[in-house]
Amino acid sequence: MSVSGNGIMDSKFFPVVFMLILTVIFVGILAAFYRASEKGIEQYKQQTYKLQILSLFADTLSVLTGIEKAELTDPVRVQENYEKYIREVNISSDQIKTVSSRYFTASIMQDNVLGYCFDIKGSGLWGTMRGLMAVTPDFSKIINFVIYDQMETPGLGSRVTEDWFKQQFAGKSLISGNAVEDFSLVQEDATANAAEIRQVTGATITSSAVLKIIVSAAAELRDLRPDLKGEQDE
Amino acid sequence: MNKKDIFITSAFKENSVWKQILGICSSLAVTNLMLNSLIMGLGVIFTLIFSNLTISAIRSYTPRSVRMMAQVLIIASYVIIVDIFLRANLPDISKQLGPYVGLIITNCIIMGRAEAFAAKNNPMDSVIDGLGTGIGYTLVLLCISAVRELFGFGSLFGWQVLGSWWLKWSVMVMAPSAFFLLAIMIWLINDHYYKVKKG
Amino acid sequence: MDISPIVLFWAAIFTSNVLLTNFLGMCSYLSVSREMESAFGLGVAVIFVLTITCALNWLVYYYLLVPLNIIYLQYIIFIIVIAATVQLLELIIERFVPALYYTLGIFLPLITVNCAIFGVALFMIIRNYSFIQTIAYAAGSGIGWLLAILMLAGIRLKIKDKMIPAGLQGAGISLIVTGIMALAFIGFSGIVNVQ
Repeated sequence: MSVSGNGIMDSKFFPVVFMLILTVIFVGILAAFYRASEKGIEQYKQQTYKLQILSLFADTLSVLTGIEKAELTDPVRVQENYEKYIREVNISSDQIKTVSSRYFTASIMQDNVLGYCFDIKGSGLWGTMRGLMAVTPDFSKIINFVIYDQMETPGLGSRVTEDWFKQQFAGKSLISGNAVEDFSLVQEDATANAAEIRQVTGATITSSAVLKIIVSAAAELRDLRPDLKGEQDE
Repeated sequence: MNKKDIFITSAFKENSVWKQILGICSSLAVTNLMLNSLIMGLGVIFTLIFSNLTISAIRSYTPRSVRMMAQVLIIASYVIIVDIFLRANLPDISKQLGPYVGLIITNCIIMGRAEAFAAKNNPMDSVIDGLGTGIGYTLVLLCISAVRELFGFGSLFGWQVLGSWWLKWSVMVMAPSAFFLLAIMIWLINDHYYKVKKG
Repeated sequence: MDISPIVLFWAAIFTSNVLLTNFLGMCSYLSVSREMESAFGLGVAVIFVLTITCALNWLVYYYLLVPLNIIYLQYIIFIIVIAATVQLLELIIERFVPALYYTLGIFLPLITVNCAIFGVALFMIIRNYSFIQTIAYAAGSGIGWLLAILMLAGIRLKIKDKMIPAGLQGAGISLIVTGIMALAFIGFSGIVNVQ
């Protein structure tokens, strides 16, 4: 088992010791690297997340405050804008699976709520997809939608993060009365009516998964609506 | 073998993909777009160079019974270090590479070269072998993805080349097309090789 | 999340075949499918390694990595567990079935970097499978891989003396056959939910 006639290397324990030393060295380097970068990576994630939420409401906010949309979504001023316009609220409900228990409200001067933003998730083809959906205060329409985390096939399923795909959802009716809207997929180059979404060519499963997430979230929101209304009025 | 021979052999004569039939999983996954192929190729080149270097450097001390574990540990460490570095400093590029990190660690080519070359040769030669193998691999990937992206999306590296008159070939977007293209590529290269041998 | 392990088992073999649907585990599949015996041997080895390593990795992940908050070491730990298991298996095969050991050659240690094994381990984490679901899915995936390699070996056997162009013989025709099989398996996608 050894290369030279070296006594130590002939011993039965040498392989184990060798592996242990090697593991300690490399895992040590990795751990050091990770600890050094951890904060930066986490901070970047938080900033991007907050920026996403702001972007969903950017059009509405821009119209009402007169501030340029570019300024509202300026990465440098994320913290400042976020604290000005967004509030975080927690719901406690065991009914929700697609919708997360922490949601966001957008308002100017803590006054009238302009809209709610929910963090929703569901399974895609390869793993969990997470999205942020901004809806009108009565939950009837989608203001804007974005998928912020997915692990679908790059260049194929991951195209659901492209602008043309997510912009289709803006303004779509979500819940009318007590009924949840049902969306269906059409070809990418077809024209879609109000209840249709143009899918990503070759990525039917991922596109359907996105629809499923939105529809499940809508159903949960419809049931949550009375509770949230109560909280808001307090 | 001198340095130039090692490079030519590892990149072309004994090319990992079309001669040794290794690294196929990644060839299917990343060849849908040329950009993805390039990113994956660069990741593999980097890992090949450093893992070959390290494994070759400690080859006289590595006991035979744990050599696979040692190789795999070294390979995985380098890949993850790259991943963490990108996530911290170049997050946009890291988003592109993210799904492939696992595919690089289990890329048969890297383990294959470690076992077949680095474990038996000196570090300098191993680095050249790693570089050659990686470049050969990247070239094959770029060829396949050029065809897939052109016919499937009408673009090359994201630049729209064919206008909207082009009816996109859905099959090129799906993974099985990589199988067929690779088979055709092997066919053409083998024919050339046989012709040269005969003539 | 609440998918029955039995459903997962059958889905892993047929409708979500790790090789023909997820395209994992190709390298050894293409090279070892030249003969039925070695294909069968490798396939059985893969089943063992898949099931054992997924079970071990599940335990390591939920009882070691998560409590100690070192999830970022997941890739390294998983691959080391796989490498150790394969090394052990190599020693056992070399001792008890030496013929198989020599036929498989480099492809036995290459099981370590078989993307299928690493991929299934990652899937079980991403999809939050319970321990029983993991065993079912891993065993099913292994059997699915064996099925795929046997199919290819059988087809290669049948077409061996047919008129294939010289340049396509071997790897070329295997790739085309696999491509056609993969296209066929696309028809199965989405039939059964595995997550």
